[in-house]
Amino acid sequence: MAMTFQYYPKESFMHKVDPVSKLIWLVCLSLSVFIFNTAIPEFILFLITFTMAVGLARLKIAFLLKGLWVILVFSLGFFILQVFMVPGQTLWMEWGSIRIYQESVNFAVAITLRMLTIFISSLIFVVTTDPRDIVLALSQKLKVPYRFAYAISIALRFIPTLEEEARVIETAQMIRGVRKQKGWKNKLENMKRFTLPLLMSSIRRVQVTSITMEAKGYGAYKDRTYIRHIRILKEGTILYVASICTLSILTILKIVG
Amino acid sequence: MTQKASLIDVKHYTYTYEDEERAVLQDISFSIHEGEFILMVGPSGCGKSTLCQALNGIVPHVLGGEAVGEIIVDGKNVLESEVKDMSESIGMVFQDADAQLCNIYVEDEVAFAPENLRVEPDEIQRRIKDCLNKVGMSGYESRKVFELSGGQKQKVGIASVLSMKPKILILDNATANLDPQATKDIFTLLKELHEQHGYTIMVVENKIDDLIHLADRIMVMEQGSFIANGDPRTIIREYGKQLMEMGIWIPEVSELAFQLEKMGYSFKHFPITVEDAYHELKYPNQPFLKPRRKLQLSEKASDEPDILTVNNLNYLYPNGTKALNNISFSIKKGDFVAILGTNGSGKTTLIKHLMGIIKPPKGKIFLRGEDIAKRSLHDMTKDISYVFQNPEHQFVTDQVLEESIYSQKMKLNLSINDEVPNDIIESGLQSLKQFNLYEAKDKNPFMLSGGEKRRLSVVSSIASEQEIIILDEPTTGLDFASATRLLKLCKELNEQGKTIIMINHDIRLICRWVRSALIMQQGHLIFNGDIHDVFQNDEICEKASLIEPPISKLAKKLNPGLLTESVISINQFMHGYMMGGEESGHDISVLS
Repeated sequence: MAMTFQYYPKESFMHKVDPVSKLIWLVCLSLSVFIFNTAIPEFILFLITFTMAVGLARLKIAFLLKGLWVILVFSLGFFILQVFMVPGQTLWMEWGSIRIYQESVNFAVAITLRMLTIFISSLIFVVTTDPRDIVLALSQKLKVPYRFAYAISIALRFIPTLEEEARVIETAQMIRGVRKQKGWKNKLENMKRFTLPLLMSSIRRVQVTSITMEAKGYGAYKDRTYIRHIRILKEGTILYVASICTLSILTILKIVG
Repeated sequence: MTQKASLIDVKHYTYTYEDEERAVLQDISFSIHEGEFILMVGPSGCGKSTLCQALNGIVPHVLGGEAVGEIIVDGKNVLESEVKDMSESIGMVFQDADAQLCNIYVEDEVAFAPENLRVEPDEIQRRIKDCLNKVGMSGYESRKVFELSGGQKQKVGIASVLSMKPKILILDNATANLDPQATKDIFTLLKELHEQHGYTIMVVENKIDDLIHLADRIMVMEQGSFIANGDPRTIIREYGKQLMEMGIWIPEVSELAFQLEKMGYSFKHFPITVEDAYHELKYPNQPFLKPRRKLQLSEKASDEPDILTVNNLNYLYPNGTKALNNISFSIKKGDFVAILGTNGSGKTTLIKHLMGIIKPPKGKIFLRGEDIAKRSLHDMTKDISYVFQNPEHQFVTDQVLEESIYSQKMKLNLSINDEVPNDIIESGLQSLKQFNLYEAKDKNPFMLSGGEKRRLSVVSSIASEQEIIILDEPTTGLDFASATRLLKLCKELNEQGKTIIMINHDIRLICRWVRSALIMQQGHLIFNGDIHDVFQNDEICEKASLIEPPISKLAKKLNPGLLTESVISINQFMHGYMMGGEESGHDISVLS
């Protein structure tokens, strides 16, 4: 599950775009979807994002659906809830005491599409961006001190190790006879039981990690050199300029209209 | 050797950790010359690691505490320098390969230190190439660190400190988690770095059989100070017995030599390597061991019924590589089996199937003739107990006694606040006594020493009626004393009729205690039989990258082509020596 949402090296337009431009695109898109509350503009934005995922990031539709289905199920529940809860004037359908209004359906569709758009665009970002480039972009382009930027890299480095360990602990304790027992006291106990070994080994590991990093001169100087540099290619420029323009136009339309 | 300038000079150095009263390092003085290869040994907790960290200033600059005395390394006064200044003199590699690599890609890892030290990018690129080449990892530049094997990670670890161009390389127990082949590769690499590139090397190690011939000097540490420091042969000869009492592994041939000395044999050159021992023990016209009949050690087990049977078991990893390829074997009741092979050969995957952690398909694995495919993991724990590699993973309570009886409590479905029947407590105390943990019964399991944790994990996994015990690398990282104690306990359980299946890399321990072997290589089972036959078959040893125990090498050298069966333990060797090749007994008692 967790492995689905990670960087896959590939040749595509979106892969060529630097993290900073991609971040601008992501922010502009996320703002755009909040400008409208109706289905049609949201659907257009969704369609654009979906087309970008398939065309510019070259994600397979099967892959998208695999990543999407959890959010789809969630959206469906949310959609139904909205349809019933949001008040409206124009009656659209009626079964006995249940009345569904046009406005509520419209709004529910808009909200659901909004979620899907944000999800797909984030997926594009994660799948097409090498984590080390995010770190480099943060420190080289956004001038975040490298000590903070590096924290991301370290977290990403250790997630697979932790995941692996958590799985082992789960089986190990199952063999010892740990079962899911009822009652909040037992639940709390189960949680503690599981967290403690993970915490212990993490603390030990962090100690070694910090010692080695210190010994490798980490944080010794305010700045450092880099063997890789983040360059903003023409793909990046096209993307962020287009994103900013679109957002501006949409904002103006909203204000004027 | 001509006396070169000293590179490390320590004078009356004493160090105390913050919040501790006793100093971990007490009035230490020594020096190391440029180009020396130093081996440092000592029981766990004696202060070896602290000393290593004192040399590059981690102690006290990063970890705090109070340091008194003087350390000069590469002309710099460590106590007055910053850690970053020391990093271009000393490169340090630790035991936990995973923890010390903090980058995602190999190339970034090697570049990390020089980048921090503001080295020019072009120069860094040159260093990456050079350092990866030195450790034999060229071509791995854009591989992800967490996808590498343990040995490869340690090599990257070494490259990542070499890129700071240090003169001194310190390895603090860096091979403890590696398999024998990977360990040997690291030692070979150290030899090259030392001989061809002139690095001064200091190695802290538990198992020194394959390393001692490289060392110019051994330093022995106990409770914060050096008790011996000098030429390896002299040190082993004079302090060997003391070292064993302290729980330190000494070379197997030296252990043999002490036994032979006890019987009146005297050595001109006390042997520390197989070569040494061969020259001391060969008689021109009279082989030391005469050819003998097969000992047939395994006969005792052979009339027993099969307890576990595996038929044509296959397994694919989720990524499609074949982890197990048509594995078939059976294990007899009451056998003591070691599963051997390099890391990644499928050993752990195999035992996970036996336990049902990975569900086998129908008709593949039979326990006492019954298919286990449909049984739940929980149900399997009635028949098999399984001890994980890391004992902490299996700890579920915060008290040693609680821990030892937890499984039984669960069986009775007791909740936390329910009262525990007295007989369960009694049986728990009983088994703690048997495993020498009674004193620690009120402690928190996480606060025990490495050896104690291991023993507790065995005690607590074993509920009385289970007939099979599976252990995954139970002696990794343990010193000689703790490892031997654990194996002895397994042997006792085995003598009580339990079937023991164990993954283990410690060939000396295996040869001394285990009866049968299963050898895995790239998902295939390439050997299934008596442990004594393993080292008669060079092809299998080579395929599985098994490192032959020194005693076996020695016996073969002394009796070329004459042995029908490997001599794989000191006791056997002594046995053969005493019998002088006569009709031999069939049981080899273990001298302890």
